Amino acid sequence: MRELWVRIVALISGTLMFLLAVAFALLQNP
Amino acid sequence: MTRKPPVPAIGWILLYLMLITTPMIMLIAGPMPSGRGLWWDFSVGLGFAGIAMLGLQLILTARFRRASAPFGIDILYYFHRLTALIAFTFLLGHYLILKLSHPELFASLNPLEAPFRQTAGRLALLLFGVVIVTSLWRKRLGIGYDQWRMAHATLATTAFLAAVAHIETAGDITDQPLMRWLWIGYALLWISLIAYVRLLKPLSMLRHPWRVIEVRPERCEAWTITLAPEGHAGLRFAPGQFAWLTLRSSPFAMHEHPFSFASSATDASRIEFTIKALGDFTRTIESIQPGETAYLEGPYGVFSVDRYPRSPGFVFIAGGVGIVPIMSMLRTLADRKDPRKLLLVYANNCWDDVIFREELDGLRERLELDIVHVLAEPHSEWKGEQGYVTRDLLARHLPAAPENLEYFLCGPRPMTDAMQPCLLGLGVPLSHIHYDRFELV
Repeated sequence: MRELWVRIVALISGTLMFLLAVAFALLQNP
Repeated sequence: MTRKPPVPAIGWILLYLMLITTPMIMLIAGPMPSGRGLWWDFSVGLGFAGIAMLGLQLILTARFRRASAPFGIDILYYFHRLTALIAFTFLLGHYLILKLSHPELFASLNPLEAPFRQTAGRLALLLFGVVIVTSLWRKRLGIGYDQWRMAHATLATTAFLAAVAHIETAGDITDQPLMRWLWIGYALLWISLIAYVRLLKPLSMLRHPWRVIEVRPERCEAWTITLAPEGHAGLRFAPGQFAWLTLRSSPFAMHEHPFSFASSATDASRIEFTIKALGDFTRTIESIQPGETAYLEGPYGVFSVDRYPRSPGFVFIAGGVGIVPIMSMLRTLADRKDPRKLLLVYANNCWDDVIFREELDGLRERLELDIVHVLAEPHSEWKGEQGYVTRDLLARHLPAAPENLEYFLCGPRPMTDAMQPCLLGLGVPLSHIHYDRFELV
């Protein structure tokens, strides 16, 4: 169960950071 | 009994998310020069994302007891591993996108000719790559644990400092003073954590030494080592937890190894570990003499009956020396005169290998304990269970309403992995199945 939660939190962290990188690129290049 | 952590798990997760996203949010919200193309800026964003995550990797493994309490330190190491892979993918993306979209920017590989920022960036990427490869395939590469550990810390620190140097000299983004100080802050945080792990923690261990008072042989090439605190009150732990043990070495040398407590948690002044001679360090246990000094760092872990005070009973499934943390739980429950129903399924190769066999028999008198021994290679007169622990075997022995009980698995990884689908198939919820996740490298 703990392993499952860890994977979910790691996935959320990675997705969030990826989306922020995309947001930065889009905002810099409207 | 383990107390409820003052900060719940969700609090620590939100703090982590806040820390990793801060550089990105500052990057987006701060004053920025105009865009240099979609791919360029996406690459910069990925680089920041990767290094912001890697900058916090050391926090995850610095063994902060309060922060690890809701999760278990083993699972934090697992998280460290997963997030390192994600962050390294971002760094690789940063490099490859720039390389493909702006090949003209890349100068010679020769550090004497290339700009410093490029050499620093290449060095960081290369070293992080080496850190990942040597961690994922340490055993296959034939690297000893102690050597790996030293190299891991040194290479990761050099890589991170090279990455910060790359960011600081890379140009327009870090021309913003706030951004410059942010990365200097991350580098200082990293160095402070190293000082905490390598100096403050060992110093605290040095001031709380333990004395070996007995080393006795057990079955199956296992040894029990008994320690008593010297000049301090000892250590309170929950049964099933573990600590890092240092023998015949200074705590500063970091030659420490994690072992589960074997003794009852009711006595903080006399602690036992039962260790099977499996590797270079564990084979030295039998040569340890009473009177020698030992150091402990702990306790850690969430593998404990104490986290489930309302459970109507417990089922323990052990393989070989995996009995040790379970033995600590059984001894503790016996000392507390716990009346709850317990079942131990204990798998071994043969009858002579069964560590704690005689004491387990005695514990039946003091606890509501049923024991099912399972032997892979039984002798000819053996009338008990034989072969491996299977779903059918569990179905024969589990009490009624197995979904209400808590299950503790400890043994070789293939065994604990195989047990989970068996228990799920018998109606046990995933949240009732507990095990420690060791051997990550």
